[in-house]
Amino acid sequence: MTVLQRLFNFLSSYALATALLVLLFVYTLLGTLEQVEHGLYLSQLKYFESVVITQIDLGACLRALNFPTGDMKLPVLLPGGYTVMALFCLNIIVGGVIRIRKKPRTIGVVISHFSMAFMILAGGVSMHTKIEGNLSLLEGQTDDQFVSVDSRVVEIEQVEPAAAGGKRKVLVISDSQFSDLAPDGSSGKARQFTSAELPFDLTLQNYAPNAQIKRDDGADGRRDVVDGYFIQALPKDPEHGQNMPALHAIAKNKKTGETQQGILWLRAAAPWTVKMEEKTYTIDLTRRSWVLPFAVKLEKATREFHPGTQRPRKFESIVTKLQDGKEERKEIKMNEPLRTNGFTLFQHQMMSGEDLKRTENASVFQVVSNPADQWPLWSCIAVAFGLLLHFSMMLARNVGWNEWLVAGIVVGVVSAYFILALVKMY
Amino acid sequence: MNQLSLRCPAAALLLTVGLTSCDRFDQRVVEITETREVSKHASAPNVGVSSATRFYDDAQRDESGAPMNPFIWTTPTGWTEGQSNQMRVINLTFGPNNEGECYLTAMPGASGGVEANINRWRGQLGLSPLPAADVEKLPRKTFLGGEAYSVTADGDYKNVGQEAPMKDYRLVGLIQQVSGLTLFVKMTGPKALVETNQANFESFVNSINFRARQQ
Repeated sequence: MTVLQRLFNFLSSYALATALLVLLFVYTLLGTLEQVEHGLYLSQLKYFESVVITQIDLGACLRALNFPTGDMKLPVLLPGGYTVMALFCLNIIVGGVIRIRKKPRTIGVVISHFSMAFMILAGGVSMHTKIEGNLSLLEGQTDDQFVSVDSRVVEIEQVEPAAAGGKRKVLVISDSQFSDLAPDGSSGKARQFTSAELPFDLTLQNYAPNAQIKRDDGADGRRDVVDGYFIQALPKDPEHGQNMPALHAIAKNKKTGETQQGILWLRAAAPWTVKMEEKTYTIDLTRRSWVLPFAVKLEKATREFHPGTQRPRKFESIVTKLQDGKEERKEIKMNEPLRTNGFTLFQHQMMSGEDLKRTENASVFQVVSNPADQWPLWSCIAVAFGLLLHFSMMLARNVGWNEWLVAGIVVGVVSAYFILALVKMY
Repeated sequence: MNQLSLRCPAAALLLTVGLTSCDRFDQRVVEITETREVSKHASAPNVGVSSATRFYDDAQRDESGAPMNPFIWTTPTGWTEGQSNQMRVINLTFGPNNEGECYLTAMPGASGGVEANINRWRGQLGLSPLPAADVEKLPRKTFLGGEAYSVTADGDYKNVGQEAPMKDYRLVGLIQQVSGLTLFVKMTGPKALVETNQANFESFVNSINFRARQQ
């Protein structure tokens, strides 16, 4: 048996499938327990979006199970959730689509396996291409910009002189380029950024993942004080979106070497202003945002709760979609999102005017752009169809009916159902 | 994808050496390649804002460094001063069990407008909204140098977050738009208690001023 044959056999084996499913079960268990202390976002990153897992926080898992324990971190080297799912997809394709005996009788099984692989592929496409954020509107307000909950960026905008034609543009530094600049022990870390559009180079340093800005009273003789303020690091909040990061920024004139220092903070009321070479720039640590190809105006937001509870019964927003001079009235309800232009707007939250101390209600939409948005639905339908076909033919064989007649009936009934559904939809 | 490129290694090395006292300087110089167009609906950036304002620290401070209330006032005799907060810049209570409340709220901008806020108050007392023409007919009182809308209304009062309304309450309030703010002075309590404290309310309102105007 050649090496390639052995590899083929291994990749298509039940043993591999079983091992991968066991690993997925274990990761689901560990991720669920760890997220109590580490939060959903970080646990998801560690167990389900990682290539390798290098550590398991046993202490956090035990504490989640009400076993009081100290710090217990177990170093491991395990394939991460991403790797496991990629291998599982390969296993299904090699074993369930390529290696399987392809006879007319196994067509249902082949369809089901192919659909399962397609579902895993959908997860991969979603992970790599999906963008997701929130669009918040008060009644009467119009906007076309949605902002990320988790992803932060440093944005630099030239505000004076203003951009020609009034089209504002910002330079963006992604958090993946500065979130590793957290001080390590007593020493800080720094990185320099440059652009031909800027008269200065920007150095970012000493990133604090969660911080508050404090006024310096001069008593501690701190060296990291900028304009009378310093960054006081706070413990990280398990809910990633709740953390308020901060960092130091230094703008250094490319010609003269003159420097200006500022503190960037996610919660700051306004950006840091830099004036250099007779131009004015704002530099801001903010949430990543995207612009929709259409604008949304919130006309009315209605919310109802089940009597005596805070459990929502009805969250409903009436909006107007504004695009290219055209206006379209739409409704967005719980479980009935608006799908348009490749974006899906889900009803996410709603605040009453009383909550906000305003006269208008507010609605928050979760905006998702995901090319694989509907792929899991299609693959679920295909898996169900494949299994229905397979089990119907098996049943027919066992009771002595004509299995191909039964298969034809199944295909006919399913096709009729979808034709009727399509007719109703359009 | 952003490109990582090493520019002027010698300069980077020098800079690194210069900063090694406490900072570890990444020798790479990262080219900023990502750009984003700003929505036309986005507000204009605030330029030249001081650090104190950016970090919510622009309240005036007393000798101990504690932030000072932006308003000054005289608390009527027999009334109790409570802790101020974001929604109640001045927070006073009165009555045998402190069941009477009187507070000042300052909101930026129009805050929904006078008519909507008066009708919000009326809604809290279970009363129907007043049409705009009737709102304009409401009496005015001098407050902070301007003319404030004056509201007196009776009903069963249900404040934000309360489940059951409180019977036979009176609300006395003023709404005034001044200096880019909308100011609300609101006194509530059992009707008889509020009636007996009407003069205290007047003296309290007349005593309120911006701290900055006094300096």
